[in-house]
Amino acid sequence: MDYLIPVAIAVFSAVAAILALEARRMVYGAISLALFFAGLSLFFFYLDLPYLAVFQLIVYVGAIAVLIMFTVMIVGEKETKEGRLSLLLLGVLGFITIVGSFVFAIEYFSSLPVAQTAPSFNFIDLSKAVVSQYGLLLIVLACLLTASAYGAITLARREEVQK
Amino acid sequence: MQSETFTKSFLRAIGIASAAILIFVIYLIRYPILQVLYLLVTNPLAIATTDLFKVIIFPGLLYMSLIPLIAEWVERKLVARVQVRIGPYYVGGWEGFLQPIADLFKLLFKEVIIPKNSDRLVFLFSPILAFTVAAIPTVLVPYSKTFVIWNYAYGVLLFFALLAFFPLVVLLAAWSSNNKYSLIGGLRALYQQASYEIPIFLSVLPSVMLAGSLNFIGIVEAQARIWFIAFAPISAIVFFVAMLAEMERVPFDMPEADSELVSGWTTEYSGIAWGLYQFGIYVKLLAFAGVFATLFLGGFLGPSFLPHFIWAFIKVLIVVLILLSTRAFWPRIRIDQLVRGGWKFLIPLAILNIILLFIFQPYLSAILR
Amino acid sequence: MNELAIFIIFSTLFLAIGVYGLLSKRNAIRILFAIEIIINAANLNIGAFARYMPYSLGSAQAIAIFVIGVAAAEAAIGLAIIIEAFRLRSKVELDEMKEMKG
Repeated sequence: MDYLIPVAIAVFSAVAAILALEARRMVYGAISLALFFAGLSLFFFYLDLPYLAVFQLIVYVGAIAVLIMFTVMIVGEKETKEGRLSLLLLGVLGFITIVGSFVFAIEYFSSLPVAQTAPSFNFIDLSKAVVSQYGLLLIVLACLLTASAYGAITLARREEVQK
Repeated sequence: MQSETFTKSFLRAIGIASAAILIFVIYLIRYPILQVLYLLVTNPLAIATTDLFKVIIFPGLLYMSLIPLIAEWVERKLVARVQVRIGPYYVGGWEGFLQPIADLFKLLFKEVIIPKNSDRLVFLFSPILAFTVAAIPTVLVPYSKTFVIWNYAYGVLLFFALLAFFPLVVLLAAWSSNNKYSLIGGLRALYQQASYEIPIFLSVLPSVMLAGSLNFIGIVEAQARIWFIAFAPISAIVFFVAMLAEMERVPFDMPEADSELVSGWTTEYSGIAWGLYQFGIYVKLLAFAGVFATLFLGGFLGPSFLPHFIWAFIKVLIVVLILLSTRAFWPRIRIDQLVRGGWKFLIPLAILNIILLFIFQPYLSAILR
Repeated sequence: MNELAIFIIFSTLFLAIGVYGLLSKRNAIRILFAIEIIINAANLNIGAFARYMPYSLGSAQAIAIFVIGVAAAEAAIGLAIIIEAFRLRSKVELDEMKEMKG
């Protein structure tokens, strides 16, 4: 009963993720993917990481889900033979194996020094980490994003056909 | 015939679901209801401080649905007077002030027509989603220290994150209508809202920097000495323009340009579904006006001869009036002008104000405290 | 059993769903969905460790934010490639794109 809220969010997100992959119409898949992203941001709100949750909402729901939906609308609904059941079985089996190994590993996780009095979130820690500790990484990420925007525009631009 | 039965069954499902949700919510809030009933007998004035009053009446549901009705009447009257017309005149006796309510009833009794080959589920769900998405950010806007529904510590962040849902809903509505005008309008709306989110974020930053807080009430209290519009006038202008573009108000109403696209992404909607869209847009306008007043105009602060929430109300009403009046005074611009203006003017201007604040920061902190 | 273990199990579940999609789907957009699900599972793991391990709140969140940024870049490029491929041969099934096979 203690874990009611995270389990409920997890069930919601898992159903959304499976629907995203298995929905017969692609647009419904894209909608469920957006719901999955929103479910992840609910997780971050539950974990008291508000900046991460808001960032997830803005980037994933506000940008990536819209981009994906736009692409789905351009590409259209031509679904071919997909969704093989044996692979679903394989996925379930793999999940059971992984979870089983984790359940055995819980002994280890239980002995980890988990913070009993969880530190509360503050922006100073985060900004110190982003700007000073990982400052170089931030610059690399900025270059990567610029390059990817440039590359995406170059790829998707329709070239004028000269005759 | 078939679509009619579908509409009926859909509406019945929605009705049953909302009744169930209502009963569950009433079960959840049984103690606040009992508290309000107890206060009604003992101390009726103290009701205004309970959470239930806040949610249902003042910054919440009733206020949020009354202001759009008044705003619609004011807008029609204002635009008519500017264009030397009379505007609504008959309904309600004095200057037709009951016209929005007549419109509401007309929309309620009209049939919701579902186009052939449209995606009916998404088509009927997206107006409800649009209204919900527009209404949720309103709970974060403070009208005084007590009249705020959810005083979240990172309210500014959350407000602008919740706005990110809106392009998604617009795109869904446009796609599900199965109409080329709807789709063009929806893509324009997506383009516009996605590219004007960046100037909005950048123009909010000066207020957050000056106050050192991401909470709306913290930002208001930091303006006790002087309003932030004095330090961030460029940001205020950028925020105002970007706000107009986010709401698709008139200089930026390419998504529903009625002379090019029939009615943009709402072309196929009729009856109360269309009404929900319009209602959602006005609720969004109210939320944005509240945020503008909070970030730049000192929010609920003012001389002490009036209580705080009346000052907040007056400021929000003034911002709403200015927002509405743009419809009468400005022509529509082109989509390329819109995009160029957003990327080449608004973003550099917002960054310029941030840089200026950094330069003058030592002097500012002496003035603020 | 503490709460960290619960979150690790959840992120494993999402990882399994993502790997299943990656293995079984042929449509490029679905594969992109699966990749996004896997990245989100990893991010949930990072977030859970940020909350429950001492002295890691700031840096773990920074890493999660960088992951979200990289995922945004990846999605933009991937979708641009998909649109370009659709324009060239009007289908997006990955196992039918074998012109560049060595």
